Amino acid sequence: MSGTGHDKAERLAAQLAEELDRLEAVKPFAKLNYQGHICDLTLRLLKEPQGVQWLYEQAARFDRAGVFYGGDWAHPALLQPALVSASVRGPALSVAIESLSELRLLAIATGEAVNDEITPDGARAFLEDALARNLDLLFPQSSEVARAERTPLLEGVHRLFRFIADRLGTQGILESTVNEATRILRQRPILVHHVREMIDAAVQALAGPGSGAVYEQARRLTNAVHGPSALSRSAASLEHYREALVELDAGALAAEAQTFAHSMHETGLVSPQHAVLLEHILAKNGDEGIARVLGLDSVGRDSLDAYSELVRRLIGRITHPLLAQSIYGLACMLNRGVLFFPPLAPGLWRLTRLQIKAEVAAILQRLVDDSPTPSANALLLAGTVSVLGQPLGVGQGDNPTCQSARAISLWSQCDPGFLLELITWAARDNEVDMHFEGQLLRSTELQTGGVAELHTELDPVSLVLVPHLDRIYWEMGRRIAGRGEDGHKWINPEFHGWWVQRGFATVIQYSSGDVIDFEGFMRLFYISYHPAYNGARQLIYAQPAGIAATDKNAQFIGWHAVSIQRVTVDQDGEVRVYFYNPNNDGGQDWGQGIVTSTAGHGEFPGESSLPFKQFAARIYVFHYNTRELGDPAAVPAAILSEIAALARASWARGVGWHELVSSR
Amino acid sequence: MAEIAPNTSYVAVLGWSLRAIEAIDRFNRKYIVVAPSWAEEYAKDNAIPYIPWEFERLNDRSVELYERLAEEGVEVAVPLYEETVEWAGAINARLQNKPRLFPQSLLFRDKSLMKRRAQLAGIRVGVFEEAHDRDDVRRFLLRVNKALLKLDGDPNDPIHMKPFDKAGTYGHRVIKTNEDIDAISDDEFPCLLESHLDGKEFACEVFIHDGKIRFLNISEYVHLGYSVFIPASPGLEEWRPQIRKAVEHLIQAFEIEHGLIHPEFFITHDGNLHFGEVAYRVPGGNAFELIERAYGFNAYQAHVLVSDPKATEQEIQNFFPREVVDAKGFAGCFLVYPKQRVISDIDMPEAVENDPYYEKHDLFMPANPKVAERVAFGNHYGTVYFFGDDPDRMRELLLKQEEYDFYR
Repeated sequence: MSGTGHDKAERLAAQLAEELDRLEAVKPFAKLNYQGHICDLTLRLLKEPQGVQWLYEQAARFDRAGVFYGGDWAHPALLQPALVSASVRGPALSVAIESLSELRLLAIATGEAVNDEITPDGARAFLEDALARNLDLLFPQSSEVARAERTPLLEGVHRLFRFIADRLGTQGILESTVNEATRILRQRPILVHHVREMIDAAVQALAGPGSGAVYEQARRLTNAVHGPSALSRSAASLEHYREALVELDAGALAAEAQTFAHSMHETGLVSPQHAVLLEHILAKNGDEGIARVLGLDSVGRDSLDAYSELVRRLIGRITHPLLAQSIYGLACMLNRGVLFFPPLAPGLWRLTRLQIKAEVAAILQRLVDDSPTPSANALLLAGTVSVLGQPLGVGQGDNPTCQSARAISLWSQCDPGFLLELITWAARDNEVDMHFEGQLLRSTELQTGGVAELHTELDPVSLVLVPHLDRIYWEMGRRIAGRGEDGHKWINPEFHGWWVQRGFATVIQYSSGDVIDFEGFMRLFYISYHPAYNGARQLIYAQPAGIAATDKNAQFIGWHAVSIQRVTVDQDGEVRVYFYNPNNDGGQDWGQGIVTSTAGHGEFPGESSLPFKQFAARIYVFHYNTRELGDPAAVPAAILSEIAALARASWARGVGWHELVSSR
Repeated sequence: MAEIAPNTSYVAVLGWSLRAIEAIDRFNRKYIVVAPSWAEEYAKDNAIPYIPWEFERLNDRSVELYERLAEEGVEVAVPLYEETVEWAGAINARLQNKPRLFPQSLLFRDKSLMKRRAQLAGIRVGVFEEAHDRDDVRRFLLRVNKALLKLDGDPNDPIHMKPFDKAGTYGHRVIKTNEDIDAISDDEFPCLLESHLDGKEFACEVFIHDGKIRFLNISEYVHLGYSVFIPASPGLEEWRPQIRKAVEHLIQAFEIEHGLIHPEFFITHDGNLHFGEVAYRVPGGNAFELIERAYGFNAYQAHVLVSDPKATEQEIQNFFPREVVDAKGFAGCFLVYPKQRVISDIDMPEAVENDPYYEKHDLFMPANPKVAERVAFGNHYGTVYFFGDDPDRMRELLLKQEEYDFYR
């Protein structure tokens, strides 16, 4: 490094020190006049090789001086690790403030600064979590794409993250990464590339020998991605692995298959070698071999037995290293027994032969960076198999299309034949038709819906279907405009299917946005869904419902679509609502101690769950079966007022609130 | 609030500016801020002495503000913004029992009246006229060019059009053609029309107490509407004696006793000084920041000081440094206007950040990424500040800034 660079950093640091003196001296109301210059100096220092070191030397006084005064970063206890990623990649100003905040937390974590709001352990946990979520910035070489996008400022953020990691040690970050990856994988998402990137980055931290449960789990995940068996790991390439497989005797091949299947079902991850192995077994072995390498249970084996030819055809089409992840979807689809549903087999056969419209094919092909293989048809089949196998693994990606994602999930569960129909129309005709109150809606004749441009990090089925669904959904919205009521009352049953109950309850008065008759609404929710008050009736079809999404400070974020999957008692005897959240990650902190669980309370993979009361504190619309209700008077008033208090202190804060006057 | 000096006036600051409030809060005068009600919460949260007031046109209720302030014990009102100048005039007229202060303040609020007053006092001004519609503008353009002996087909000399009562370059149009005239909207009338003066334009910040100049700063415009530095280069400072004389003339003409004026002049090629216009308040365009950087005194405090009739000779002499010789260097700034129509983030050019003269910027990323069309010289997106000891290099550097795009 040149001497001048060092001098420059030193000069900037001196300016920063002066400016911090000034900032510290002024009254709180005038801090704003100086914060901008501090941010400017921070950005300039970040771009210098030694800049982070210089910044950190002042970090202990950032809070005292008032660097964060009056802004979103003012209270360390309210910060969220999940938001760091967007901040450090965001506008220059947010990069500056976020960087300053990280360094402040580092000073707190190492005991060089004290803060009333957050303990050293709290600061450390925050930073470890934040770094774990941004491993690509900690180890940028892991991603070629990231390399291309690197700017001097992003380089600075990289140096900042390294600096923090060097001082905190990588052990905690590794633990956070592995735990985070494991937590997400337990939900069995269809799209796993983010998790794979996390795992790959963690591997670099694993370079040294280590022991303990975290290292064990990290190795398990890495192997699941890069080679579950010793043989697959030792082969230099997929080609070599293919050749090595030829040498195996029947026993060794069976053991190999078993290892792969075990790894896949344990983690939800599939390695490219799995595709090679499956192809090999398909050519050489009977159904027994296929069942073994897919890890089929008894239902899966029956499915394979009954639809052997179809399954073999599907395997033949989707077995490609780039599509390996869909092997898990295929195994799940067979284990679900969904093939026994009459329209499915012919529907899937049709899909294997489907001529995909050129523009749709081009969109699909972009998923594999326009590689000539696999074909668009194979991509669509792989996606279809995944959605049929993992209905709760559908995510909306970075799109505001929770309605469409939820619809795909619900159809896969309740009406998979119809879903195949929709996929076929969208792929072959690039058009989807639906009816609304007797009138035909053709997606190609409709205006754009909620999203002008779809963020394309999506599974193939969503990629093909969502643009059409979004338009139709918004058109239905336009058609009900002026009725003065929440349109989902009419839209949901027509958009999804007859099995969405026509009984519809909302607690929001459409015209004013005020809360009306919360108590009555909540009683109705209890006597429709709570087994202790609805006559112990089970939910037959998953039902769409609307929640008021809140952040961990219980601040209202927006209205969000989920589906109620089932309501039942968990292992501890607590009644819980199990629901599907299309928002990619079902594990969320909604504030007030309401943290959605995704594992450990009897959840099926992909389900989120909450104690009934906590879920009730966020629901604002639901559908119900008008013929199957309990006694409203049976619901204790104490429970209702407890829930009302939670709602009023969170999403309904500042909203008009009108209870009906009771006649009793 | 800092310790209050004895025998000083209680000051009301008209208008809301955090920078001004911060500086005055550190000064030795008792003060109170008068500002619209949107500032109330912030003032309350930060214990800033405050009276809510909506500064619209003076009306029958205006006396209420005077009464509030008189009751509060306020002795002097200091305007921060153009719109509050006549309020300060009206209030000071009553508080100080000098009825002429109010009509005097109106001279500064009507550029046409201002020019007349200057002309009456024998100050050299360009040709000007009031316009009520586009035909007036057409006629003025024609007559001025006729007087300049332009033939049919010759390109016109431009004329300038300005609102009567707006600060700085707000609403300023340069008109050369009939198309320019067609582009004027109805609501811009009535307005002031002026002939164009070729020459070097510059502005002064003049701190006046007891009718005498206590500090005269000359700001050198490098490119009007874009860049300026303080103190002026030796080439312009050479004119200081003449400029000082012209300013004194102006002070007499406008009968100014206490406060700050901000006049603009032209030096024509033949060496004549022409009066452009004058404001009776804090200048825009960051002159105060530059003064503080170059001379080390806070100009907001200076403004309060000279506005206070009770300020003593000694206090004033101690406060102000010597003009030009006491400047620590040249402080300049560049007003940034995005070159692209849609912007996504601030993008400071490396060459700027690495320049030894570069100090800081206050650019912001607006909520709306679409850049508003630039009207006249208005609405810049922020300022980049420089400091150095060579005025020629400063000039070059400021001109160079026009090549950069500070946004991406």
